[in-house]
Amino acid sequence: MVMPKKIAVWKFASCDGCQLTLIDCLEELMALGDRIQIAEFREVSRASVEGPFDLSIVEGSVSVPEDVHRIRRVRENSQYLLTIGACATSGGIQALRNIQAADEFVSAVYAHPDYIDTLATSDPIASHVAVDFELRGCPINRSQLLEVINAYLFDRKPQIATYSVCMECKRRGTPCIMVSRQTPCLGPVTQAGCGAICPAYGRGCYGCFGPMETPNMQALTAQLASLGETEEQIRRSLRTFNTNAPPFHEAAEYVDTDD
Amino acid sequence: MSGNRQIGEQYRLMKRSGLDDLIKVLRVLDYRVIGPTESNGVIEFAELGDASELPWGLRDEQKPGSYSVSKGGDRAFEFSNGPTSLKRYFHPTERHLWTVDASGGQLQFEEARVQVPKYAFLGIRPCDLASLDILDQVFLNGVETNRYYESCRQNSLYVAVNCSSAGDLCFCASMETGPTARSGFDISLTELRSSDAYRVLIEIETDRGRSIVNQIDTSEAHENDLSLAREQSDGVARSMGRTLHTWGLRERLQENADDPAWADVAERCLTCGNCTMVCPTCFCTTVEDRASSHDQKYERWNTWDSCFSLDFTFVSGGALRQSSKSRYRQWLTHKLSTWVDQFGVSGCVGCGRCIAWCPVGIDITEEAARIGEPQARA
Repeated sequence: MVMPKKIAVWKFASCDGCQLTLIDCLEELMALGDRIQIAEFREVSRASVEGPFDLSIVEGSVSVPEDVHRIRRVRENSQYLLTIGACATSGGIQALRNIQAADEFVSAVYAHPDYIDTLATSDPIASHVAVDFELRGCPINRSQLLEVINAYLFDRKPQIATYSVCMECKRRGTPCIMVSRQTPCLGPVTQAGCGAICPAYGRGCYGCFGPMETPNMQALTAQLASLGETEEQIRRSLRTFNTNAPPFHEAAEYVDTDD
Repeated sequence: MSGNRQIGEQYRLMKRSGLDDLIKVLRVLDYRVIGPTESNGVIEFAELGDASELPWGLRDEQKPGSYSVSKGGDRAFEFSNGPTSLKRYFHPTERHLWTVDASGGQLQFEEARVQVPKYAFLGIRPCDLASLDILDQVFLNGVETNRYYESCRQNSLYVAVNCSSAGDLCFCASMETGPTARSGFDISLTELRSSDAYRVLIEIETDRGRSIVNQIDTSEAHENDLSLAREQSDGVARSMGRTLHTWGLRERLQENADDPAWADVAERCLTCGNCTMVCPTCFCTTVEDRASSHDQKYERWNTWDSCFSLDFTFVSGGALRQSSKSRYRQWLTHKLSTWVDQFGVSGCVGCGRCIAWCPVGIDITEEAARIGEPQARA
């Protein structure tokens, strides 16, 4: 008899979309029967089982002072820590405030800024505690999530590709839209995982899965400029869901197209 | 008049309606007809229902990192190769190998049963035909026979089209794979450029090809038709957009692994893998085990991989080819040099796809010319 693995799901600063992907996997997870026990998953149930946990799945970024302490408690109580989604793995779109003064945003957005207690930056979980595996995506891909959970349960290495979106795009049979339509695309510097959805519909890749394993930002931004993108357009395209991922952040800081 | 002499049973002529007949006959024979058609702004291989779906009156313009289709001419095969090669039909992007079922308490292995389609390829260019010869070396004459590939090769029928114009990125003449198909086809077609009405010269290479041609409306071909086709071919060979100097290339690439030109191209290379995906001969794959733990079944799949991915050389301790430089060097050196050591031929057929479909337009002919040639960089 295998002891069930106690799984806990924790939300930090996020839109909850990645947790919805997890909920979408419940049928498969239920089929695992007594191999797993969902100990904590507020989006699904109020029921809660005390730690420690075998596996903690964390969504969201560290954004408010309380998060700093909470994530440490989660880490201390978890044998294996999996972070899911762009917020947890790079800080999310809310990390746009990292490049501006956060209090200016607060006073512009909220009627009573004094109610808001926020950190100056939105951080990936891994910048506060040790993380065992980061699953990218905004939102994450359902099959990839199942793969990572299965790999954990059966003690094997998750098969999550870190190469470019182009590889999925070509397998899918989509002709390169940068080449055939001169459409700016972040695919060559972005990690695969989504199945190359956007280029299949004629849209350039938005970079939802963050930087691929060896992104050549300079070569890509130079090509985007030669397709007619301005510095500002290139900067904005890099400053979305993974704005705080170092290669995207640095390329946006230093983009120089001579325009 | 000698020019009008008949030239035997190997050659026939057909009109435009002959292409309609040809596709009809192939479909009656239960072939899935795969030919070029325009979709999504590119001309690429897809399943055809009839000859009207061919890219009549369309041309393409190809430059490094750029491809576009425009109107021009009145023929069906005025364009160069599109992004898709025949590779994906013979060597699918992913292929189920076997399943293991653990639900009964012990492991039950079952080989995947894959239906191999019966394809008729219409409009294969000589360079793509040559790529199949190269893949034969890899999949049929290597250590293991790839049985899917073998069955697909045997089931398929090959209708080649000889090029009547050369693209800006073409260099089949350098690689001696074109512009005229010499073997490996059942039938070849040459659209004749002449002031007369649309005419196609048919060359019959196999009995299978002959029985198909016998079922369509053709007329006798004459010696002047053949000489026109040869003139066209010579003209195409002379107007290649690119040249790859192959003399001494095998040694030059192997002996200059430290050439600074490798670092130069690595600065431009995205390591995205597009070149390997569009290449008609890049065959590398990885093996994935797909587990669906809840029903205790595990599947082993074979999927396309690329020497540009880090995981490709992952061993205990990490990936061997960490730098972009080492990965680009591996690709180019294998393609043009060590491929010869391994398979007896170059891995490049001169189709130009890797030049057009590189998002930043890296040109294999230029890069190969730089290695070991300091003056080429000046």
